[in-house]
Amino acid sequence: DEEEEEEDEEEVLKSSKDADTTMLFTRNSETEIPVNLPLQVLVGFANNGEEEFVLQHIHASLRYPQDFSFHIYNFSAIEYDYTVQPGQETTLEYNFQAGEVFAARPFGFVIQLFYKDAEGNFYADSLFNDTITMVELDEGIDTETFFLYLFLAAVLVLLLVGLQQLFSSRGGKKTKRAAVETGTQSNGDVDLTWIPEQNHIYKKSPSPRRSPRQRTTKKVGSGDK
Amino acid sequence: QDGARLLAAKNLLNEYLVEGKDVTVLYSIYNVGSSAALNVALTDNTFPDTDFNVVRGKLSVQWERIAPGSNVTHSVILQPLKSQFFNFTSAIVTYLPVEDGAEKSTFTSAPEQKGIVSLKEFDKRFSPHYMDWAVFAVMTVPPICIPFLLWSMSKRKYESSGVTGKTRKN
Repeated sequence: DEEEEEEDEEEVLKSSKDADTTMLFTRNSETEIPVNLPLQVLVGFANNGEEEFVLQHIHASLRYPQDFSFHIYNFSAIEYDYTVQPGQETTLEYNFQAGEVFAARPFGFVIQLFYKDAEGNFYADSLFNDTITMVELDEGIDTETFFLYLFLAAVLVLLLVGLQQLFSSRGGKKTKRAAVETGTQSNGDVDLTWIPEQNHIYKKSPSPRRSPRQRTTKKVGSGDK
Repeated sequence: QDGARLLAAKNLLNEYLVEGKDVTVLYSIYNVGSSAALNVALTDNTFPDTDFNVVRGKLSVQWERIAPGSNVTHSVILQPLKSQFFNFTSAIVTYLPVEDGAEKSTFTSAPEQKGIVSLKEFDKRFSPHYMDWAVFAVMTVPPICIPFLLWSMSKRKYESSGVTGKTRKN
């Protein structure tokens, strides 16, 4: 209900004649507000009266450009509770950042400073009250999209390597099998010189697995004899 | 309308304020008035010696003249000595809005209360943890090397005795 109160107040509240305010956008012009960028507003407050003022909070909002009483978006208010003695001057800082959704559209932009005097009278000062355009700054190369494309390229390369691996391994298996088959067929013609000498000796000695075949060949041989 | 008008901001540029690590304080002074501000002096007495060490820069500076529509910046590098919540308050800027006029003073904006993190806490979150990784590497040696040694020993044993076995298979 506090917010409602404020909204009601802002129609009624006026600024004090003893207060002198100035404001400055330090990172943007007064007609364009870049989105997705932390922005800084400096607010100067001079107390030219006889009584102290208490600066309560600053609040910025986006309004419908054709009707400033229609709120589209409220930025966070910042509380200060800062006392300015008579004759004193001070600077307040208001930081805000507009979201990407507002890009490339005109808005009514209102920044208000709420303060009160020692007697408890409330005042509001519209520091800024104008139509602005939200703009999206072109930053050249966007690192996020750059790395997205880099990642996609890497995935593509990985896929190609995987496919190549798959096909080559299939092809390799086939040729290997063929080689094994021919090897068994032409058992006697194989050149065994590449096998070390001692292994030749072992081969010649009858092993339990080989013996049946050798026996059959011997049988054939003996049959021939 | 009535001479120079200065707006002054005081900002901390570090995201984390850490005990014993450099903190950069940036002062920016903008002249939004109609004439040049003369004899501008910035003084910041808000950093007590017990809480801060000045590493580089001065906490009081002067400019002879700041032209209308222009701005100046000044920065100081400090080292917080304690981890605590510290209320960063305003520095004072004094200037002459018009020549031969009365001196005016204005306060800078204030970063307000900020927490200064202890070095230990900061390291816990952000250091590269070289020591921890070294310890981890040493700890991983036994569970990897012991099975490997067992395997290689049994393999060697098998090979030295199993030459006949291998060839028998052929």
